[in-house]
Amino acid sequence: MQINRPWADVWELCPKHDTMARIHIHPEHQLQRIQDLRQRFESLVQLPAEILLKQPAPKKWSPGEIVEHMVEAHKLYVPKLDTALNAAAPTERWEALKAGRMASFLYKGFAPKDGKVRYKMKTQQVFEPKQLPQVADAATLDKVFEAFRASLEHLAQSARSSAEKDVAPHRFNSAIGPVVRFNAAEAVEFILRHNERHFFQLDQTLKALGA
Amino acid sequence: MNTNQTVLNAFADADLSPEDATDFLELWKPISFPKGAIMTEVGQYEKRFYVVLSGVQAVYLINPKGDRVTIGFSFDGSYSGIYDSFAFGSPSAYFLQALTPSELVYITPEEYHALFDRFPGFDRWGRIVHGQLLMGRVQRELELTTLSSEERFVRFMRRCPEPLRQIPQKWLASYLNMTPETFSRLQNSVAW
Repeated sequence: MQINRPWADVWELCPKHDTMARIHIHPEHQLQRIQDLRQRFESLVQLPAEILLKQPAPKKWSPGEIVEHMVEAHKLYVPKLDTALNAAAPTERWEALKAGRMASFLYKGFAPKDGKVRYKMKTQQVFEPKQLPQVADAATLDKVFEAFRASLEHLAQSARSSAEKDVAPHRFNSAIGPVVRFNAAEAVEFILRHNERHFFQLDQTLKALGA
Repeated sequence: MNTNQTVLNAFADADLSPEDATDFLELWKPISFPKGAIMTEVGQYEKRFYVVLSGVQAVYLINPKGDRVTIGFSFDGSYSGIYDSFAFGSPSAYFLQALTPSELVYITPEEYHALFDRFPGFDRWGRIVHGQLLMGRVQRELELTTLSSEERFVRFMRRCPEPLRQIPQKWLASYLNMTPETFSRLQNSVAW
């Protein structure tokens, strides 16, 4: 079993994890936030390709590479979400559901606070950007951007579908491994918060690039 | 009241001639939604301007704390839809949900915009309806910013249409920017 050590360390260091409040997941709020990311992304793509392809410092991702990382991270969940949602029975939920304790803990750790990322994580190799580090040109950038638009659409569809289905019985391993298992709504929330964290990184990167 | 009469009443200010009314009524298409259905989603483009035949619908969004913020309602005989998205072709910033089983009729954006060229009375209708919309929003803003919870509750309950009395109180409480507990307490302690 492979455990992402940074998270495990944080979990062990957290003194209140037994009593930590569980986060409520609202499907409508997820869809609002996905729309917000769409709008921020469409503003981003208006910037010149030379800025979007430029790394702010050696070994730091360019804006395009950050977007590609989000695409790669989402990819892992596509078949898991589709399988779980296909198997789930329809309901008329569209109500908030409570995320599990571990999922809630991860969500909280993701959120930047006071203008800073609190818990830094090393990216697993499988989620590293692959295309842009090889071919950093406008055509590759367009391909990555199209893939990101598609991943946001899949995320919105999954949020919508998980709101209308009984997702609780259908759990699957997260990217971290079996130590954290998600239902579809929790996974959508995880991907969304992961993306929001990287949009924060995009803002910081653009600032560093003077854009 | 039948469908045609409901639609004509909703557009009484357009002052349609009997011939124009016949053509106008042919534009409207029926549609129904079960209770709880999301009719329009944040980010979608509103493609329908509705007149409600029966049922209650709510326009709302979720604030960053995860609380629902209700912007408004539509009900029997009123217009419905996300109007700014419909009129300006922009993504909707709100949700539209059927709170009760809903029967409506609708026209498309192309049909709506053509009304103003096709029927002269629609300029008058547009002036009146947009003025009423603006006045309604200003009145609501004033109530939210200047009145106490109790005053907001009393004013709303005095004008509250019958269909809205049938929906769960949490929706009315959210519309009045108060908790369901406060709404319930006021309902039990304040005469209106």
